[in-house]
Amino acid sequence: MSLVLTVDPDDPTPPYEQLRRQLADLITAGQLGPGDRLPPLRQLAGDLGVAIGTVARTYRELEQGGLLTSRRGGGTRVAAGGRAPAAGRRRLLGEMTQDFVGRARSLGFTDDEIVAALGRRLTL
Amino acid sequence: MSLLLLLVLVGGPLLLTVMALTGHSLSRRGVDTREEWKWVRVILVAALILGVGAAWLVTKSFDLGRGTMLAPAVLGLFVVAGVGLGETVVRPLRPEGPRTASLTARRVSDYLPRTLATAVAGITTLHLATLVLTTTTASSDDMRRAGRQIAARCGNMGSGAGPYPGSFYSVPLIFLLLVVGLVAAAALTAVVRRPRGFAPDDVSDDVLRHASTTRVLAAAGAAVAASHVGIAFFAGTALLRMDCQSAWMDPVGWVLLASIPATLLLLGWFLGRTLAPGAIVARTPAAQSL
Repeated sequence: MSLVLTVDPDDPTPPYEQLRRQLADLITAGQLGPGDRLPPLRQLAGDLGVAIGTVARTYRELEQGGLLTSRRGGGTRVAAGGRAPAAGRRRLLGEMTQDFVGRARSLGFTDDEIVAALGRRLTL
Repeated sequence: MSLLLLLVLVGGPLLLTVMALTGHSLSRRGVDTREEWKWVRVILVAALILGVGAAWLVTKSFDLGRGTMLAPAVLGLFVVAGVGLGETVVRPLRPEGPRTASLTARRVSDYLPRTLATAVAGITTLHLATLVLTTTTASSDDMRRAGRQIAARCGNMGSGAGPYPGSFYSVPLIFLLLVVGLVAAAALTAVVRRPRGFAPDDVSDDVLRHASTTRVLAAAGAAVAASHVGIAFFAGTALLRMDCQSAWMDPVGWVLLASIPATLLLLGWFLGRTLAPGAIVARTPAAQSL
């Protein structure tokens, strides 16, 4: 399956942050593993219709966070220690679940309804 | 070199670029690959007309058959340039809204049709091998012009035949073929780096990119094949005309002549792939309702 990044120009979050968050989540979830090569800056910037500097900033911040590594001529790859341990995956899933549950509760759904909805979705 | 030839060689590509940019700005109304293909064809026809003009001028400008041997490659260069420009410049603007990008790095090799790439590599190898052979075996003619004829000596008797594609012909031709190769490589790289979003969906985008690389590669193959037909004819007939031959001349002459019909078939196939639209991606529902 091809992994896809999305940038929404109408989202108030800056494009570099949208990209940074998506890439960090993909690495934390293990969808991108150590050594996996990312597309060149020019390709990603062109496809997403953003400036090359925007993608460069995303890559730079992820490099500073130890998730990516860049080498001249070798492109940008997921760092050897980039893949988070199982705890990181669980934490990411926990955060996503917390967001979902919080939103559902704020809209007035009961915990039973939330569990039932999740159960139905998971059996599909 | 005449002023007119210089004007065509410099002004031709400039005119094609202006046409491509005009097509680029006129097709900015939305994603409609049919409209875009129309512009690609207009630029290709213009490149053909300019290429025929430039080839004719080259034929007239260089004496002793040098222009005739260069003409197919000159025409091919214009076709490759026209196809390259059409495929890289004439593209509509992306639609509004969220944009997506695959995390897979695109490489030129991923988009080259294997059979076509093998055929182009094969004819290029054969052509370059022929040029190396003719360059290393040619001698000076009676006016001491280096690399213009083939000569052999059998005891007291000597024999020579020309025109033979020695350095007199092959050096400018190899330079021209190098330019064709560089233009094709630049066009292929530009096509593969072309941003996504020029077709209604990612699958269609890949189909479009495959069609573009096919046309550029086929155009480059046609330039090389057309050039090989001429070189193989002159070299083969010169080798077979010799009254006094070295052992290798007769078989090589026949092999070169035998390569002509096969190369003509390849040339027809390459031209077909260059001119055929391949897959035209359907209009988006929004564009159809316009």
